[in-house]
Amino acid sequence: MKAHESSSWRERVKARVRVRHRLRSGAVLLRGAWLQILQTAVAACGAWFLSVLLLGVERPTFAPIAAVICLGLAVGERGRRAVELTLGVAFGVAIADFLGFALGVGALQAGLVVALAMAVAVFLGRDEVGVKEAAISALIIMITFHSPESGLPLERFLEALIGGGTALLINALLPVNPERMVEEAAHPLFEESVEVLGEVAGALEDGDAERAQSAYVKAREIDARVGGLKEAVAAGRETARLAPPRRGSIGHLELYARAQDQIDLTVRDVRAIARAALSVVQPGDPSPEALPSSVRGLGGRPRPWPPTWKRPEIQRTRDGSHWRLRGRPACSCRSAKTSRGASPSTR
Amino acid sequence: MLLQEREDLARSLAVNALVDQIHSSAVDLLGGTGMDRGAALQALEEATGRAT
Repeated sequence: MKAHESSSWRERVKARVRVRHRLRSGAVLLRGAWLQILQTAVAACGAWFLSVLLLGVERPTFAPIAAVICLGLAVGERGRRAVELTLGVAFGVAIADFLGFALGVGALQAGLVVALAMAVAVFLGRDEVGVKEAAISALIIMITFHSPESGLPLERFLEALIGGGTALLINALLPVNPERMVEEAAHPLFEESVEVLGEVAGALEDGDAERAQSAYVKAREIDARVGGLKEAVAAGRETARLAPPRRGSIGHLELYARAQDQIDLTVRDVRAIARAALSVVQPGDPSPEALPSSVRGLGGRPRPWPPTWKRPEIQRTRDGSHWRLRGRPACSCRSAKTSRGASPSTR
Repeated sequence: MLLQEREDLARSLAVNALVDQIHSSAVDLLGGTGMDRGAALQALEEATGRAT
């Protein structure tokens, strides 16, 4: 009886700990996403008001939807691309309206519109999330379509433009954190490169050809993602330049901008090592002892970099024209904006 | 016998290629810290005792 009571008490404690853990992790997630939630809510609200004001419609149906769709697509994109996306959404609405007008609304038409939207998204090089978003947006357009009594209405096209424009404005006024965006693109490159070097070292030690091959495949995947880091750096710098609340991030982002070619080179080196190891690893025959430890030694270098980058000790000079490392003279070159010593790994 | 010799030679060439790649990666990493190439090579030589 006592054992039963004790086990039920333990279960209750475990459940309470689980609930507390879930609440805490939910609060952490919410803290990371509150800006995006605020952005989207303000954009939907603003798009509604602007449509009422500019188009004179009583209940704008599509402007808030277009604002939410555009905001989802445009976050983290560079200015010109974000405008292109907004225009793309507006024209997408017009095309979907035309299809609804010409073919009607039904199961087959829904399938056709989803297939078309996904094909266009894939053609434009969107990632998996973007492709699914396009499909969902197409379905929303189809569901909210009302057959016009006379001809093709321009109203939803104009609403989409208003919604998209509002989203762009909100994106500039309440921008995403560009530093976090760049960090999220950069840090996995380091962590995975170190992981690949560890895998290569392990394969060399054990004479495991399969593991060496898998490390090489991983290294190639990392290499393919360096372009994403460069895009994120470019988008982050543009956001920081255009959005007054994010101007303070410019110095930090300059560090990444200056280091991105070096990161590219490091990732290529990791791939080259993984490639060279393929010819050395022979099943059941361990490599010379020094090789795995040397490969691991290389992997040890990048680990301290990211934490250093998180807290760059840089500051603007008094006249605001240069960036400098705390306690060091400012850079003499205006265009570089950071001193040569600002390379994160020199500290 | 000859085949075995060739295999050994091929493996030692592959090992050399990997060692060279590790060496040049280390130079690149040191270059990333702001060192110029000459200084990076010298630092590596001092650390490993290997002539470049």
